[in-house]
Amino acid sequence: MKTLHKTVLRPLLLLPVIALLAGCFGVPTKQLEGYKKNFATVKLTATDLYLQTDIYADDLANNPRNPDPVATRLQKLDSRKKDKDARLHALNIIDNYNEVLSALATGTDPSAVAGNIESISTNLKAFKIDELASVLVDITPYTAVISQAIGLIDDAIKAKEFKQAVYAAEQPIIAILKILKQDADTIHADIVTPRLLEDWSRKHVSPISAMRHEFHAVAKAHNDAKPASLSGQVAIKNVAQLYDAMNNERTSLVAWPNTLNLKPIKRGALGASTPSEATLIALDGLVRSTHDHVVAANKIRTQLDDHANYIKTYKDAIDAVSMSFSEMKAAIESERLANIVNFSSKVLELRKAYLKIRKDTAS
Amino acid sequence: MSTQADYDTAVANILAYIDEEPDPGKRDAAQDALSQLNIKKQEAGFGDMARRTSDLQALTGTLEALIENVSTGGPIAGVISEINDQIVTLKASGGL
Repeated sequence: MKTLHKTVLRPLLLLPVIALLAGCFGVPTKQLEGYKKNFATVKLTATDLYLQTDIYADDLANNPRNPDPVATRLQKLDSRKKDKDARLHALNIIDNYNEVLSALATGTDPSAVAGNIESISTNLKAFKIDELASVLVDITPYTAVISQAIGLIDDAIKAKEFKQAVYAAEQPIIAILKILKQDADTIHADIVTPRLLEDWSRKHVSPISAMRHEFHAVAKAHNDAKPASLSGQVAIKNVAQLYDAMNNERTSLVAWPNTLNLKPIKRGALGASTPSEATLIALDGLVRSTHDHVVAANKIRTQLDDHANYIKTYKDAIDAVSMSFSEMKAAIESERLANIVNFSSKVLELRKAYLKIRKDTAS
Repeated sequence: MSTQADYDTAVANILAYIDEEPDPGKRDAAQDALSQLNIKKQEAGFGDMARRTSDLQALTGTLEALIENVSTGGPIAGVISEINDQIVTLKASGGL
């Protein structure tokens, strides 16, 4: 009965102490998950953004107005694809690093992710508890308890490894995120905006300007009287009404950022001749065509605004990643200070409990 | 392209010119000038990204070294020292 008490029951006395110690050295998993979630959002958006930018690179290389020789264009295109690949690679590497942090945090595979954990006794010395280490060597009857204590120490070491890994990666990750933000501004202002402006101006606004001159060249020669004979097939406006309609269309065009709105056409003195029905129909056709171009141009203008908002949201998401990384670091620091105190007191409790068991065993 | 403001001013001037100019030939020439301006702007943008690539690759390489270091159990402290040196160099070069 006494043997049973020594070998089984007494070691169990230590278990409540071990239970108290468990979890003392957890890493800030909530902050880690928050950071990883934010980064996953950025990675997804960034990947889309760089793939879209790749399309713009193709477009620039194939632009017939590009003055570069074909060989130069292809060389630049190849280089730009490598720039894109470097960014996608960076995103993947940060992702990989985040997985390393997760592995360190959970400690599911210490041999894989914390290979530099040395022998238990060495680690105990690192934590300045050599005395406890020497005590532990003698207590072979309490292997189960010791192994739990060792597990506890392991957790502490993993937390230390996690902290080192976070601190080591902070500067490179923050610097990469800064480059992603710089890229975002560049992509919007220097790559997407000029391309949209090209479509906006060449396909729609230049025709609107051309029709303004075509319209005025005809309309200015006429007065506001309606033709004596009208077919009655269409509702006919007089010249004054057509000027108003044309100017309404022109002022409906949303100006490109940092440029002025189109000015209304100044009619000047009334023309002498009364317009024919065909003339009014032709002028009305110019107004309608202007309308179609204004609608199409404004759609492109909306695309520009949408892209600006997309970039702003993306940059905010990058800031959120940086912030969540800082929060994770701050949490490590605050937990570390608490843990030092906690660890010391708990180790003392563990030692007292062990010594008590030894004393009881000897008696 | 010296600055964004220069580009904006040039675009505003060309667009205003195109709308005011009655001569179709001159309007087309102005539109072509705007196209060339946009191409130069895009070239400058891709150039800016290219200039950041080497910094990005260096930083990515650092992270890869850290991953390798953790996986093989090497001393992270040594890598941290290398990172500090690298960041100082990048900042000094104006990259960051």
